[in-house]
Amino acid sequence: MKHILIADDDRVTAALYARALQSKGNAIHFAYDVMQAIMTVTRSRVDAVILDMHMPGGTGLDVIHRMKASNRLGPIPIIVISGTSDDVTAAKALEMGADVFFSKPVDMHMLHDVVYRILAGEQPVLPSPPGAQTLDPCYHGA
Amino acid sequence: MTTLAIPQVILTQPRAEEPQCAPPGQRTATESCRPLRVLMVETTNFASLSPELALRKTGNAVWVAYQVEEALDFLREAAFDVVLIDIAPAPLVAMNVASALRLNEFRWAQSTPILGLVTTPWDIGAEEIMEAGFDGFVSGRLKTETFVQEVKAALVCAEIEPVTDAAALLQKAGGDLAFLRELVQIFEEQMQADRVAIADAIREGNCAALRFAAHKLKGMVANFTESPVIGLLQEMEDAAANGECSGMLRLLRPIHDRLLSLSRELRQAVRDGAGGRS
Repeated sequence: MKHILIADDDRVTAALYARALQSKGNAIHFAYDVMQAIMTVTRSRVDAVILDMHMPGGTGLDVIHRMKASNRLGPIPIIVISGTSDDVTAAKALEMGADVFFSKPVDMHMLHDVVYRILAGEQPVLPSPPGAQTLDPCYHGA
Repeated sequence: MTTLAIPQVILTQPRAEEPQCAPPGQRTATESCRPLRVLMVETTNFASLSPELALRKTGNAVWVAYQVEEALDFLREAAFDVVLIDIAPAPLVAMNVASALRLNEFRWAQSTPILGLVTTPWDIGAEEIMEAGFDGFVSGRLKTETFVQEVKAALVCAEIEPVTDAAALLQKAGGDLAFLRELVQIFEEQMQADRVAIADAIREGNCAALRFAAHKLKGMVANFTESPVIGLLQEMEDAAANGECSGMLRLLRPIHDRLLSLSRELRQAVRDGAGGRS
């Protein structure tokens, strides 16, 4: 069983992500602000983090920073999903150690595929068709 | 000073189901089917007797509040078709009252049209009036029939097109109607929290909080549909990012109307089994 943390203060979005990722008996954990996200990854077993950039109490970058500063938490894959699609935000998140950056809204099948490939230690397939308006994934993994 | 006692009956009357405004193209404003329920808010101790009498003479029900708290109590307890605020004697006070009513109503998921009573249309800039939360203004010096017609004409509803497709909604929920119902319930709860956050941010002039709250609500709505409310919330988010919070009162009513419409559509989709599928 894999443990996935969904850190997003938008509970509708979080519920949709959970629905997409809860197959195969995986455990989904939720955090609705930055502090809760940091507490959860610190105290619980988490195998991957789905991270929103805009949350109460800080930003997704704060969570990435805290995780990457830790030897134990550093290797946990981080998939950033943001309603802000600007290149600066994406570049910053990836530079700090996020593995993938998506702009909202996200195709749930794509999210499922990317997360499970990362959890399986595979490189995710990230089709980025020319002119795609809503899907802007960037992969920065190993 | 002529202070009218607050009628106790108002506390037990059911709220009107629908505002007394005419959907465009369906009926003219003068063909209203029932009398208006009007809340007049005086900004000085002197009542605007002419407009009040004009409304009463033509069969409309009028309540008068002399303080913003009193007006808020009225709005909390009963539905009104329109709020009239006398602008001319004390424009700044009137704008503060309109702002307070608009912000509180947004928090309560209500939206009563607010019209300013002016001596002449030149009493105060129209832009300032709208930015304070008014929906328009009428001259209090018109003849009775004309005045009442002007008030009713200002109550024409915005026409809001449906923005959801039941089958597409169900598809977003993976074809699971129970999950869609759960999503809609989460939406309703979170929307209310976001409305409060937006109203509080505007009241406090906290642009960072306003930007955050507008962004969050926009993202949540986008999960369901491409409603025009997304554009309005984006406008609010952009303005807040530029440090312009105070003028955002003018967006609260259109945002409310569209959120209300979206909410009704979502609930209807769930009730209908999202297009008949289960």
